[in-house]
Amino acid sequence: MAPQRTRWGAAGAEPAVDAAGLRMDGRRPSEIRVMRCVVGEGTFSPFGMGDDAHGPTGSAYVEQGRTAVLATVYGPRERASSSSALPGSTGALVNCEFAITALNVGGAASAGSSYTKADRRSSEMAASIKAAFETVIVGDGLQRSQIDVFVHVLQSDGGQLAAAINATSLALMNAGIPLLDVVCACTVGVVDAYYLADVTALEMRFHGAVLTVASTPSEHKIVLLELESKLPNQDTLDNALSVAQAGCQEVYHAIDDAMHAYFAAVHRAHAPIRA
Amino acid sequence: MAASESRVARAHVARLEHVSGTGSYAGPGTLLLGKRRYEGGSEEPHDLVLPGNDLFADGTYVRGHGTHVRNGRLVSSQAGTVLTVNRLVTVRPFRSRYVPEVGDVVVGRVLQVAGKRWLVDINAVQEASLLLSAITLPLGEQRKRTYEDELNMRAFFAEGDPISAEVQEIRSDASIALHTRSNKFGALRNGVLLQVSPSLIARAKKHYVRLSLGVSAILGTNGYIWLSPHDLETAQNEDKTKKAGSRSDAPLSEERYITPLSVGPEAHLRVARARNAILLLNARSIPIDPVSISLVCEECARQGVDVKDMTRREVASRIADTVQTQLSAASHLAERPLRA
Repeated sequence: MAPQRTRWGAAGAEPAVDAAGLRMDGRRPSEIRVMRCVVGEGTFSPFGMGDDAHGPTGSAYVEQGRTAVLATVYGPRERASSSSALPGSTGALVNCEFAITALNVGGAASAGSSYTKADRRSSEMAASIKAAFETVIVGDGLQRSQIDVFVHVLQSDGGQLAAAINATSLALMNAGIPLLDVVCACTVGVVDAYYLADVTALEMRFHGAVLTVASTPSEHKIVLLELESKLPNQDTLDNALSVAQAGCQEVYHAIDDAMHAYFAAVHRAHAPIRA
Repeated sequence: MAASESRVARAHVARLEHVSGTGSYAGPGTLLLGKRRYEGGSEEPHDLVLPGNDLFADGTYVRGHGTHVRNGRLVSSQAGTVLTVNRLVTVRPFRSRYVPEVGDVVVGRVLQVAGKRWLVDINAVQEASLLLSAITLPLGEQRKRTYEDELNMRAFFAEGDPISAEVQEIRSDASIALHTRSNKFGALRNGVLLQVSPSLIARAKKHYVRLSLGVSAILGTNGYIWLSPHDLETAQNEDKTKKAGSRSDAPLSEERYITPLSVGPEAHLRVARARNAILLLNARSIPIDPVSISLVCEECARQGVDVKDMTRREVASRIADTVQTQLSAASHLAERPLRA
């Protein structure tokens, strides 16, 4: 007989991992949530690209469990004159805006800490996304240009930054922006002795440490690592990192599948001609 | 999942599913992914690669666009299809902004009049520049550009003017220079500008085409297309040649505003039909050329589809299906030589 589950119940009402080795939502500790990706929404609408209406160059919508994120990419396009080029910079300038939409419900917002693009936490998120992707965007031929990334969290249930990075990866690929590698991100929560991959907002209430890792799937290079509290020792970090890396691989499979599905949909009858 | 989703968010997801699930256009790929669902699809194009995927391990290949070298291996840097020409390996992204090449015919819109040059939007990574010295003066006059010309630049092209031009040069900092040093290039009037995906327009011998339904089109390599009723164009050309014979001291401003010809409702409809046909092809990512455009128009005429109905999703989908079948049957889409 499964214990009664409380939705936003206080931590401690039930354990993070029960006797059967399952988490509150039935996952195993190292399992990520179901991921659903929609690539290219809004960029290929039947008559949306007409005349002067500039739609996004690339877009992606990613759901990881009940966290839902929409990323749109504009560019590369001419750099706005106000953002002067840094001396010695060769590649494209990446701008990122991160916002939690007003319609967002769940974790963060309902906890009384709703935030918009203007506040500190959002600009921190934006800076993280920017930092992660500046390392992988290939600068050749993108001099004097900028890439604008807009990330909207439509629903949050933990792992917003990770979902935002995954969505941005897909949107950048959709926009045809050259990347050294895909960036996949996954969170790990360290609760007691458990390493919980892709934690939900509910599991965050155990007040364990939450580690967000973004890495490249083919070389396992870490491009972003965020830890919001202390870990007891080096081993814990190592273990958490390996769980996160495994989670990133799973995310990569989902991203790969989504791109294949997108290609299959647009490729159906022909190969695009570009002589 | 522990609890029910919120109503608002569910509505949003439902909308997305609706849009992408209709199958009426080849838009977004959507897939429900379980954790272990990844066993590899069956119908996917097998030559699709993602950034970071290994292409070739040995160094006998030449690095082309969309690839980079990592630890001596050739690796993709685009999500796209692999294309090998002899030893040159390139990865073509499915969609991207326009990548210009010298000699491309482009259609653009003037964004800004700067000192001695215009900045033109041609859907590229940067705005292209059109130097004052790279345009034809009215009546084909051959002389140095004076300070007076510089003050008078808006008389040639002002902000917002659609123009056609040719890519003259791509400089080392990836900036693009255009020129209009030919009678066929220059300001465009009395027509419609539309945008499609640049990957759908192949570089061809002719980019100035006359469509069967009495519409002239400039299929810009950059994905911008200019449509105008062709009888009008003929009238304009006659006008131009007539004027070339006359004296050349007419003020420039007059030249710019000389051609507001009236366009009848019938010509409007012809242009609108061509426009809708092109956007329909774009929505289905079918290559856009005179053949495919006229096929759509013929199909619409055959099915008795009104111009305004061509934008309706179910109609567009029906017509696109038929056209796609016809095109593949005519092996119009059969493997083309992809060499530039």
